[in-house]
Amino acid sequence: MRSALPYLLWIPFTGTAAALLAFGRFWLQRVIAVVALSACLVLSVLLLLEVRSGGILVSRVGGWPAGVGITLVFDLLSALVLTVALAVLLCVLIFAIVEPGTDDEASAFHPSYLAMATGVVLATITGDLFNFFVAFEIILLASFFLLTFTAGADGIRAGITYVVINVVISALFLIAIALAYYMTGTVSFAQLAGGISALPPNVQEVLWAFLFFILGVKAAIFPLFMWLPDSYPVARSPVTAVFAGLLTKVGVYGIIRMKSVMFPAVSAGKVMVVIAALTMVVGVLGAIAQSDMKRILSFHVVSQVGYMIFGVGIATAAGLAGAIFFMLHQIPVKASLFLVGGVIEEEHRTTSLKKLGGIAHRRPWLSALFILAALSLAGFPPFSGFAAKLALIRAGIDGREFAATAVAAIVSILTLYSMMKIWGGAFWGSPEHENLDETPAEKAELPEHDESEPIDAALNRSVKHLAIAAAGLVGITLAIALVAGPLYELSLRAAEQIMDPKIYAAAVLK
Amino acid sequence: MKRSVIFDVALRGLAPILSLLALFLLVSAHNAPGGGFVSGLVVAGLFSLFYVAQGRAGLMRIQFVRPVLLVGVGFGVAVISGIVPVFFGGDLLGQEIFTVAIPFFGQVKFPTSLVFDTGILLVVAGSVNEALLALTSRGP
Repeated sequence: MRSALPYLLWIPFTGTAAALLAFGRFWLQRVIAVVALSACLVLSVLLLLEVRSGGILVSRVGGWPAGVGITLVFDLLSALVLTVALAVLLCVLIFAIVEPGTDDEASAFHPSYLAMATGVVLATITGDLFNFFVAFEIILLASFFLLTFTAGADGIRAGITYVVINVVISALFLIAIALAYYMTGTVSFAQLAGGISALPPNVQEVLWAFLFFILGVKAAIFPLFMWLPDSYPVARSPVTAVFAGLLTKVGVYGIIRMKSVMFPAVSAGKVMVVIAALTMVVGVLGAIAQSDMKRILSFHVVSQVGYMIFGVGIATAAGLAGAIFFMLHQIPVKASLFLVGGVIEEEHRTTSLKKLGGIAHRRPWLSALFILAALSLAGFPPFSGFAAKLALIRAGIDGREFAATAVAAIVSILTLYSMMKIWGGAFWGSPEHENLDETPAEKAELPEHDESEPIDAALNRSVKHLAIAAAGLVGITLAIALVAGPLYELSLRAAEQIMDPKIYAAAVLK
Repeated sequence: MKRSVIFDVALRGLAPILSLLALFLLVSAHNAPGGGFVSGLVVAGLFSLFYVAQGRAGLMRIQFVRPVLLVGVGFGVAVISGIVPVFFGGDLLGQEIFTVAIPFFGQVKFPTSLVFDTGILLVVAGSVNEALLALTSRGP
């Protein structure tokens, strides 16, 4: 079974190559992409079942030993994150295929999407700091394209901010890796653990601060999140959904992995908790100030990342488990909210709350999807967000971080408030209500709208298909709520596994 | 863009030399992987020289297939050569060196990583070429 691990990386890579060769043949590309991601997901689930009791799978690329070559390491944390990530990637892919205009306008959508999936797989299973950087670069290159390929002038402008910030941060990341290599002579996570603990404590702290800063920009924590709410909403909905759901979480995954494997001795918990609390508050306040659905959701991406950093900052196994569990819950929830936003945008050509209204009348099922995901995000009791936040808050109280725990609870309520704002603005109200304060010129356009019956029928059908595609993702969210207990157990086991870097090092270096 | 006759003529002599250099770099990466990338850069440089010397028309003249297909084929060759060792019980991207006796050249080492490197060459050369074509087009 050892040899199954390379296939996990190989399948999406081959999918990318095949999708490139099928350039211009949309249906072939779609089949390739769906097959590749499904196969990868199935394999990931099988491997998850294999490591669920605490084993670690290791595969050496090119047969080189760890420290010389790249090692692929598959532990419980990788398994959990990767399985959820692939499930979300697959659901969003199906949404993108159903949505008119995303994958049929540019032949490069599927290759880029699969390349991004490859990057996500590599980032989660690599056992090597430099290779983690490479994975990040693969994701970025693909995301540059996905962000700008259908965008107009606005999209290009936002894309430039995104590209510039990420290129600068990548350069810094490379410098940080060079420093770590200079000081320890290795870039393998397993060997870095020993190498870094031999350094003076203040050097360790500086190195961690440097890496935390870099990953913090990627994960969009306070005060380094400015690029996110600006660039995410301009992309097409499925692209935004997968960016918001996954990409920042890859940064959080990096923080969790590096903190636990490389810097177990650095006690930066207090700083991280403060930053986490600020991230939550600033993110949610930013969201409350917005009046566009996609922008509100983008600010929530920032706010929710704060919870995960909070969990890491508590620095107990329960805190880390809470952070991991929160991440697993967050990936599908965030993506499904953006997909519902995408359905609304498809129908109404806008996501501004001032122009929307009364969707609950016309599309009760779509509204149900939104409210399920929104309550889950806010942490309303039976849903997955509740379990995740409960885990974090309990860990916070046990870890004696009372102030930050209180902040986490208050931010939950504010999150609920801003979800209700979307609900009130877009879903409630009567359809007529939206026209009350419009100018006569705008009113005159209305009858013309009614005449176009055939177009409306096509739109109606496509909206229904999109809602079904989005429902798949909401289904994953609900499934996480159903299996919250066992999943939390697994997260706790994953946290305990990575809390002891010796387990990791022993498995990789043997 | 104004074309330089001297440059154009010089390129006729340079092109075969650069192609040979690329081939040399590719096969000289004998026992360790890595030659494909450098060699791909040389080929990409050759494409750029054609553009500078003869303009977009010159670049178009040396296209045999769409460059994106080169990228696809190169990628495909690389991933397939990477997984083959796993079928024989080895590791991903593992390599085997075959020594073949060729008349006149004597014993020649043929590492399986040469196949992988050829794939990388195609990816690098193809993607630079695609970018050149895209950047020099007047838009859709």
